[in-house]
Amino acid sequence: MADLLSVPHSLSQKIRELIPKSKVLVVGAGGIGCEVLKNLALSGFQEIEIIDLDTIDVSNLNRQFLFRKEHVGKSKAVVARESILSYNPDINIKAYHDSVMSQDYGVNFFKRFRLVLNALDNRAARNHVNRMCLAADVPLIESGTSGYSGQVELIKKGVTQCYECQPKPPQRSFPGCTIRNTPSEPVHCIVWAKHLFNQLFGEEDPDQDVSPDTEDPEAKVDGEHSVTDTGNIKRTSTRQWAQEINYDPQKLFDKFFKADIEYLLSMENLWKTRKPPVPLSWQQAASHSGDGEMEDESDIRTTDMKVWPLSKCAKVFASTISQLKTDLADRNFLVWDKDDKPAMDFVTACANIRAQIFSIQQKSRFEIKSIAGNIIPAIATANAMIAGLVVLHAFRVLNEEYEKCPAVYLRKKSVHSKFILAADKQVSIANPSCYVCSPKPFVNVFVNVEAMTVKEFENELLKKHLNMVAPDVVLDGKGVVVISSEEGEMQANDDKQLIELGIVDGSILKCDDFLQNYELTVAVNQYEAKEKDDPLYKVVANKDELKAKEPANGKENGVDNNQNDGNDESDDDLMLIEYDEEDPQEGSSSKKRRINPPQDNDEDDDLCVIED
Amino acid sequence: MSSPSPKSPEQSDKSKKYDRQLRLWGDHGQRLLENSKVCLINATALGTEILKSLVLPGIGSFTIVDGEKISEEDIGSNFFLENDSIGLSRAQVATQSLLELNPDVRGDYIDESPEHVMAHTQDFFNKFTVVIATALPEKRFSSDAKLVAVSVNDKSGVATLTLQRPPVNSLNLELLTDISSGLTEIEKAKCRGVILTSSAESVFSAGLDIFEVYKPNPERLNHFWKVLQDTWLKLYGFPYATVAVINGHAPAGGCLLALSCEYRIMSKNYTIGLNETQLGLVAPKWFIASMRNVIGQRQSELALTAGRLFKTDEALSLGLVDEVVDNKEEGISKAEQFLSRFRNIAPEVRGMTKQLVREDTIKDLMKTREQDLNTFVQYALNPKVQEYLEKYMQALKTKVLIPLSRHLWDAQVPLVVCRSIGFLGYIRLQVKEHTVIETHPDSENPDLRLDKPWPALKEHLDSINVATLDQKTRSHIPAIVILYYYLNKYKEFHDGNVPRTRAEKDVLRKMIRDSPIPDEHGVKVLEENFEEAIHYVNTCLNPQTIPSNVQTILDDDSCINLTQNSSPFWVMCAALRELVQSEGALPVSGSLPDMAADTNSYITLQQLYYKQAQLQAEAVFRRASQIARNLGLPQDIITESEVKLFCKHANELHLIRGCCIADEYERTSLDLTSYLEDPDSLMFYYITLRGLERFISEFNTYPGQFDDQVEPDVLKLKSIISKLLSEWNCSHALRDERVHEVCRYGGAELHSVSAILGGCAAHEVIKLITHQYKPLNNAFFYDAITSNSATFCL
Repeated sequence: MADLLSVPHSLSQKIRELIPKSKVLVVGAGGIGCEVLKNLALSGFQEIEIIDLDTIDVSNLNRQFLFRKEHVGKSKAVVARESILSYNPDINIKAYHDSVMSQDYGVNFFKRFRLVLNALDNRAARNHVNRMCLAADVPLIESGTSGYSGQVELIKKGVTQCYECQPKPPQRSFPGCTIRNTPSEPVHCIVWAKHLFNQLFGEEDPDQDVSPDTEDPEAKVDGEHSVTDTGNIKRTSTRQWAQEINYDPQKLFDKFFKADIEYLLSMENLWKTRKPPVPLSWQQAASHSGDGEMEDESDIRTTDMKVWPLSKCAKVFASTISQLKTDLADRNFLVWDKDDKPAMDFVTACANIRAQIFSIQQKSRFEIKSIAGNIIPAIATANAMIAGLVVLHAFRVLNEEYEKCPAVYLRKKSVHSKFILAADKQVSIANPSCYVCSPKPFVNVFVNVEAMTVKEFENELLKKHLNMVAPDVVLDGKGVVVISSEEGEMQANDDKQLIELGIVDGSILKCDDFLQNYELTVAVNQYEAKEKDDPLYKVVANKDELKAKEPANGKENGVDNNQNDGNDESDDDLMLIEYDEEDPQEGSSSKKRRINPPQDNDEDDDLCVIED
Repeated sequence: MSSPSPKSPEQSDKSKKYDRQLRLWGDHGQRLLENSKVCLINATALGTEILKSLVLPGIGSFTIVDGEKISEEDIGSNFFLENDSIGLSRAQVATQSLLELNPDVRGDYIDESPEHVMAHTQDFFNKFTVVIATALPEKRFSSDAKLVAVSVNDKSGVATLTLQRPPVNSLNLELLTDISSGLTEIEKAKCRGVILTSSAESVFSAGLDIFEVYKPNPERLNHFWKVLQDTWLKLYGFPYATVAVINGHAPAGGCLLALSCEYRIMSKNYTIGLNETQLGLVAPKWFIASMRNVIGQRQSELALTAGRLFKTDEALSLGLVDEVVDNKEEGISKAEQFLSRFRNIAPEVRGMTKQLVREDTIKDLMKTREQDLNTFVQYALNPKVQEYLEKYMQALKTKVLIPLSRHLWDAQVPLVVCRSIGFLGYIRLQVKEHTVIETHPDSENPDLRLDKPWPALKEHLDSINVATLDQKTRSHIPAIVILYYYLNKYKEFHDGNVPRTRAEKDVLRKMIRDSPIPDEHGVKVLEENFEEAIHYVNTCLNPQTIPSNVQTILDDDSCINLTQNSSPFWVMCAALRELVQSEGALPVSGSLPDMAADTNSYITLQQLYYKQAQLQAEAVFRRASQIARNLGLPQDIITESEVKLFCKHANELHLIRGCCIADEYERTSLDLTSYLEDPDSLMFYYITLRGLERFISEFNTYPGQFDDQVEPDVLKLKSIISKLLSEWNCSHALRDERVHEVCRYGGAELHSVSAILGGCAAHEVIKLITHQYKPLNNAFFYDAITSNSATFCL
C-alpha cells in the first residue's frame, strides 16, 4: 500500500494521495535523469520506470551522481535503479537498457504511465517521445540544460504547444563540395578530418569522401566539367589504397595535402573569387619552421590550449597513423571517439594542416575537440536546478493544474536580468499549423523531384528531418505505395527518382508512422538548389511562414526576448546552436531568426555542429 | 574508440572526468576549485544538495559542522542519509555519503553545533574558502548531551564541575538539573573541594535562560524555579570547599552561581554582577543575600538597585571577587592553591563551620520557598515584565548568525546563508570584497582599435590602399584592413567623425558594397572578405572607451592607496591605472577574430595585435612587480601569466563590495516602499523570512511545526511581522495567505525545492571560488509556487 509518510507534508492532501499511485516514466538516466530520479524517490513516488540506451562514461562522473568509477561501461538505467534502491529499497523501479525509439515501446507502453519525464540528450529522441506522448495522450515534461542554461516545459495534448510546434534551428550540415573542395571555416576542415579518419580507419561511408569532388556545380564551365573525368585519380577506395601502401604516412600526407590540392587547383572556376589553396608536401610540412612565433605564449594553459605549429601537426599525423594502424590490426574498423587520444590528435593535426593550406584560422586541440566532439559544457548545478523544477511541475501535472506549468528557464545572464529562474506568464499555446500536434498534420516539402531518390526522401527527409521511425508512404489519389515500413517490400523503389513514381510539383503524399501513431500529409513542391550553400530540400509547415516576418509565436508572453537563448539544449552530446547577442540598434529579435533559420545566411557565428 | 588506447597524462581520468566543466571555467578555474576548502554548517537536505554539487566538480575538501542527530524527517528529505541511520550523527553520515561521490575530494566533520564550535574556537571558520550555512538561526538543544562535565583529580582530591551548555551556559531547567546532579555525584566522591568553571571561551554563565521566563508554560516555569532553588541550596550549603573560576562574563544568574561559592577567581576584562533591574526584574531575596554576605549591605544596595555589572578589576576592589588571573589555567591553579590551604584542617570541622556561617541565609529561603516561588511566577507572568523581556530578547536574537557573519566579515571569508522551507527558498551571499577578472560576458565585440590605432598598427593599415588593389589581392586582404580603409574614407567626408547611428553605418556599408570593379557583364561581385567587413561595421567601430565599472575600480580607494595587505588584484589595478593614465585606453585584448584572408596578411595583422597586447601586459607586469616590491610584498605575488590574463580581460573587471548580514539584521530602518508597490514582489518573502527567523529565535520552533499549534503560530508570526515592519517604518501589510502558507510548511523542506536551491547556491559558491563569472549580489528569493525568482541587494 501507498506509504503517505514518505510524501512531503507541505504538498496538498490531494497531491499527496496521488503521488504514490502514479506511475511515471523517466526517459534518460544522464545528468538530469539522475537528479530527477532522486527527486522522485524523495517525493514519495513508488512506481518509476527508467529507460536509457547509454552506458556510463568517465566524463559523466562530474555530475551524474548515481554512478561511480566502478560503474563505467555499465548500463546507466540499471545502475541508476540500483543506486536509488539502495537509498529506498521499497520503491518499485524498472530499468530498461534500451532505446526509447525501439519498436518495443509503442503507444500502449506509454499509455501505462500517468506522466512521462524527458531527460534526453538529442532531438530525435525528444521528437519521438513527444509524438508518443501525444498519441498516448500522456502529459510529458520536457527538459534540457547546456552549461549554465536550461529549460523545463510541459507538453500536454490540447493544452500546450508540443515539442515540435516551433521549428528548431536545423542541425548545421555542410554541402559535400564545401567540405571536399572549398572549405572556408575551421569547422569545414574539422569535418573533413573526421571523414578522413573514417576513410582510413572507420566504417566506410561513401558520403564521407575526402577527395576532390568533380561534381561541384561551381566547377562547371557552362554546364561542362572543366576537368575531364580521366583526371580523377584511380577509383580504388582510399582505404584499399592506404592498406596497399601499408599506411605510409609520407605517401598519405602527399596524397591528401599535395596531390589532391593540386587537383583542386586545376578546377579553376573554384578560385575566381577565392584564394586558391597552397599544396603542401610532407617535406615542406615536416621541416616547416616559420610558425614558431606563437610558441612563446607559455601561458598558464596546457599544450591543449595552444595551436600546434605545422611541423608538430605533421609529426602527430605520422605518429597517430602508425598508432591507429596498430589499433586497426585486430578489428574491421575503428569508431572515432573524441576521448581517444590518437583519434583526437589525428583530427587535430589533419584539420590544422588543411586549414593552413586553405588559409583558414587554425585551432587548438581543446577547441577542435569541442567542435568535433559536439561537446556541450555540463555541470551538476544546472542539472540539479532543472531536475528540481521538473518534479515540481510533476506535482502540478498530477493535480491536472496544467495551466500552472508555464515553461521555466534557467538563465546564465542572471546578473543582468536579476532573474536566475524565470517563468513564462502562461503556458504556450499550440501552433495551429504544427505538423505534429495539429488535428490534421500537414507539411510542405521543397525537393528536386528529378534528382532526389526515394531512399533519400525516406532517410533524409522523413527520418532525419521529420523524425519518423518507420514510415509508410502512399501517393494520394493514385494509391501508389512509395515507401513501406515492411523490410524489403518496396526496396525496388529505393534508387528511383521521385518523378519516376509520379511524384511531381503539387503531389500529395500520405505518410504514416505506425509506431508513432502519426499521420502526416506532405505536399510536394518542386525546388532546385541554386546557390552553393542552399539546402538540398526545405520543409515548411505553414506556407505563410515563407513570407511571414512576425511569427505567431506562443512564447510571446515570455518574460523577455532573451529567455530562449540556448536553452533548447540538453545535457550531453547533442548539437548546440547559439545565437550571438544582437546589437540592439539593429533591432531584429533573435526569435525571428530562430523561426526561419535556413533563410538566414549572414549569421556565421553560430556554434557549429557535426552529427556524430 | 573500441580499442584500449595508451593513456597519456593529459588524458588522465581526472581531466576526462572534468572535461565538460573545464569548458566553463578552464584549467585555472579548476585548480582554484581543487584547492578550495568549503565548510557546511548543518547537513540539512539543502546543505547536502549544495555540497553534492560542489563535491562532484571536485572542490579540494569540505568540513561539515552539525551537532544534530538524524531524525525520521531528515531521512524523508535528504538523499545522503540512509534509512538505518536514525539517531546517528548527521554530520558523520552525510560526510561519508558525500565522500563516495568523488574520490578526489577529502571531507571531515565536527559533530558539534556551530554555536559550540564558535564558542570554543573562534577562528575555526577562518581557514575556509567559503562557509555555507543552512537553517542557521534555528536554536537547537541536544537533549542527550551532558550540560556539565564532572571530573575528580584523584591525587589532589579536587573535583571540577564545568558548565558546558553552548553557547553561553544559560541556566535553563536542564542545565540546572545537571549542575544539581553533578554536585550530588561530587558529594559522593568524598573530595576535598570543588572548582566551578565554564567551558565557554568568554562566558562563565550568562545567567538564567530567558527562554524559561519569556512567554512560559506555567507548569515548566514552576518546575524551573524549584530546581533553581534546589541547586542554589545545594551549592550554597555544599559541605566541601567551593571555588568559582570565572573565566568569562558572569551576569545575573551567572554571578549568583559565583557568589554561592566560597572563593572567586576571575579572569581579566570580563564583567560580573546582579543586573536584574536592568532587565526589568527584581532580584529575589536570596540573590540579594548571596551578594550582601560577600560585599556588605551598602555596596550591595548600590550595585543591585542600579543593576550594575562590574569589570574584573572593579569587582576585585569591591571584594566581589578575590583574585584576578590572566586566564582559566592560571585560575584553576590558583583555585587549587586556595583549596590546599585547608590541607591541615579536618574536613568535617571545616564543613560544620561553613554550615554555621551560612545557616541563616539558607533557612531564610527554606522557610519562604513556596512564597518565593509564587512571587516569582506571578512576577514573571506580569505583562509588563514580559514586555521588558521581549525587548531584551530582540537584542539577543539570532545569536548564531550575527556573530558568525561578523566574524567571517572581518576575516574576509565569504558566507553563504541558505534556507529552504516548503515552497520558499532564499540564498544570501555575504562577501566583503570580491573581485573578478574573467566575467565571461555574454557577448564580446572584437577589440580592434580601428578608431585609434597605435602607431605600428596605423602604419601597417595605412600602407594598404584597398581601392587600387588588383582583383586577386583584393580577395585576400583581411576584413579589418578593408574596414579601416573605408572608415578613413568615410571620415574624410564627415569631419573626421566615425559613423555612430544606423543610418551613418549604412553609408559606410554602402561604400564597401559599391567597391568592387564590375566584371565583364557589369556585375559587381562582392568578395567574401568584403562581406565580412560589412558584417564588422556593426560591432567593431564603437569607440574604445573605458567601461564605467572599470573606471570605478581604477578610481577605488583600494586601487589608489595600496597597503601591505593589498591583494594581487589591486596591485595589478594600480599598475593598470598608470598605463591607462599614460595611454588613455585600456590595453588591447590582443586576439583577432577569424576572417577570410591569406595566411600571411592575417598573421601579420594577428602579430601586430598580439605584440601590442604583449608589450602592454609586460609594461603592466613590470610596474605591478615594482609596486609589489615597494610595498614589501613577496616577489611571487604577481605572476606574468596572471597579469596577461588580467590585461586581456581589463575591460570586464568586476568588483563586488557586499554588506554584512549582521548589519542587515541590526538595521533599524529599511526602505522597502519602492519594492512593495508591486503586490507580487518577492520582497514580501524577505519580510516573511525575517519574521520566520525571529519566530524561530523567540519560540525555538518553526511556526506550524506542531500540528495543533498552526493557528496560534499564524497569529504569533503575524504580530512579529507587523512589529518588524513598524520597526522599519514600513506601512505596508503582508497578505495573510503568505503567513498562513509559511505556517503550513511547519519548517519542513520540500526536497525538490532544496534541490533547486542547492544547485543555485553551489553555483554561486563555484563563482566565488573560481573568481569567474559575476556572483549574485546579494540576496536571491525563489517562489516554487509560481516558479519565479528575484535578486535584491540588501
